[in-house]
Amino acid sequence: MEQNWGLVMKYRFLLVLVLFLFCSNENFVQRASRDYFLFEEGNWWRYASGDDTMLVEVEPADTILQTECFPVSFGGYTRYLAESHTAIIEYINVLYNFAGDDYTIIDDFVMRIELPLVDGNNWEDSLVGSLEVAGQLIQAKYHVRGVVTGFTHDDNFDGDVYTIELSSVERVILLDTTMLDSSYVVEHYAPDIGLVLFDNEVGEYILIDYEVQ
Amino acid sequence: MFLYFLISLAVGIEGGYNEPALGFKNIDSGTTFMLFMNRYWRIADVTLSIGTGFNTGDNPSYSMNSYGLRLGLSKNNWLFSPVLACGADYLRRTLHDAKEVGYAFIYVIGLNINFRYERVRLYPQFYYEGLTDFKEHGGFIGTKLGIGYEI
Repeated sequence: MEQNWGLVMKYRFLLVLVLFLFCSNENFVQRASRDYFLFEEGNWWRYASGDDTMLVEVEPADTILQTECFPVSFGGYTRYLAESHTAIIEYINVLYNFAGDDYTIIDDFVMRIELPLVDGNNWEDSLVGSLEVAGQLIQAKYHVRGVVTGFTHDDNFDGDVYTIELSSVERVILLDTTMLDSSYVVEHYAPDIGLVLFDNEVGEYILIDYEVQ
Repeated sequence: MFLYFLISLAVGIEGGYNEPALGFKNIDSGTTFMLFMNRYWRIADVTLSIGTGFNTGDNPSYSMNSYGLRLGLSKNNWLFSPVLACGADYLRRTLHDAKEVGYAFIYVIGLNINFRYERVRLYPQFYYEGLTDFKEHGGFIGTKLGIGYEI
């Protein structure tokens, strides 16, 4: 009897061993538990595109509309980003200039990237606003759309790198004119590093150096 | 022989609640449910269990499910019994209609407090359940209530 029981135990251990080996090619826990966005003051990343380089740096936290966010300088151009449990949100400020004065049409946060990152997820968010300037109704619309197009394992970053496509459109609508500003960017995020590559209208920027806490 | 094997078995169920303790910062909490059978073998009770878990995310649209198999050791005749188990889980996490699936190796370290009444054993269990893909570790702390019946 004991021999039979021992045989059963041996097969169970073999089963566990097979599952153990099977698991070794998976990075599921890594994707589900590690951080892909590192908005901490002082973190910086340097990218190169041909001869051009760009420094992305997280500056000291600021509060906008009662929301603590981090100004992130993209080569001097500052974006205000914050991370919540459900999304990376970005402060959007759409202005209309009339007779030398700026009028704020939209002043709010938009969901830039929905969290957590899951392959195939897509989202969209929009903001609208309007203001009467010198007797003329000015409308503005900001729309962002994103999709996680996949992930690939990259040994350089010791993990699975997610690819995200983001497109945004900003419209300022006057009585007889519509001003349009659109952008499209593909971003690649690595665990515990952050943005490692982005490709926009200007070119493809590849991470060459970084320091994160 | 099969009859001997059968009558020396104990079967039971476990259910409980857990929260992430390491990694999984997008998970809020979870529930687990397991079916098990165990048998005393040489020095300890060997438990084979199958189970499922459901974890809800901080994002209400996000969830993580698991379906797993465990092989564990305990001393069910002790009032306070250490529990060690390992196994594998099939995992699925979903956000809206998007989903990812994968596998993880599981290890459990816990403590049972066994209360016995004739053939019935009732026990609360406090445990840490670790998940790893051999690149990253994550884990949950939780508590379960189990009931077993010796056939």
